[in-house]
Amino acid sequence: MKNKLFISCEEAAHRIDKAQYGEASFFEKLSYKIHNVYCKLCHGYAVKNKKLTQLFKSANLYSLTAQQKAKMKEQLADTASNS
Amino acid sequence: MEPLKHKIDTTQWVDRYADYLFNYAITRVNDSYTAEELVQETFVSGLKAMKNFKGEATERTWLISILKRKIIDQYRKTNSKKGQAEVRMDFSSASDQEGDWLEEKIEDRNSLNAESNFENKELGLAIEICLEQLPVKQAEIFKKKTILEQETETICKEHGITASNLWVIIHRARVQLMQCLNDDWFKN
Repeated sequence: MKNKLFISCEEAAHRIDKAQYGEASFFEKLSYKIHNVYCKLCHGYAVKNKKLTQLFKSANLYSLTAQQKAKMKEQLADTASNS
Repeated sequence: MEPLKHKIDTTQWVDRYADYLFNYAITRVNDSYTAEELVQETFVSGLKAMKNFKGEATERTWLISILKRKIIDQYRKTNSKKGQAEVRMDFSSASDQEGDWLEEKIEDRNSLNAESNFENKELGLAIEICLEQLPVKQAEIFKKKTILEQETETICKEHGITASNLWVIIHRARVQLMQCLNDDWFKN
């Protein structure tokens, strides 16, 4: 099942996503590329998906960690209860 | 007394707006610790001034306006410590400046990037606005995976989900972000 060369669109999309995070194996990449040769929709998705990753990289976004957010929530709750 | 027309749910503030405000602040103060403090102060001030929120703007716009004030105050505070508005750092001694130096004749790479920096700032905020529209849990998992670059396994454990659940969430988030972000961003 896992090593099928011809895959469904759903499976292709899943592998395309994984590839964006560097978590797709060689075979997974190969199989979605074969799929994209005959599936225009998935090919379009792959192109856009790649661009999205690039956009995220160039935006240089930051995100607060769960701990930092928990600390903020705590302080906010404290302020709310004191006022 | 007339009841408050615009009910604000402050418990959602951190999840919904913290990252947006943090990105806004960090591009202006260039220090993550200061940016975090400013966001925290913004929330506290917002909480205290909640009565004044008329609902004319969105909560995010209102919070940003508070944050802007905080950033200005921050600049004032650091500048008053220095005792002057601008400090120029000069690492080279006067003797280095003598003669003609080739380095002075080439373009400053940083000034070339000024425009693209500005674009990136805009892009960052556009992405944050789109992320805000995702369901809270979906956005949280997506950010952990994409921005904080955490391992799949770590996120799965933390949220008690399977790897395939995670990939479904990531896929949905990515599709929604593609739809939300203006097509202009996807042109080369």
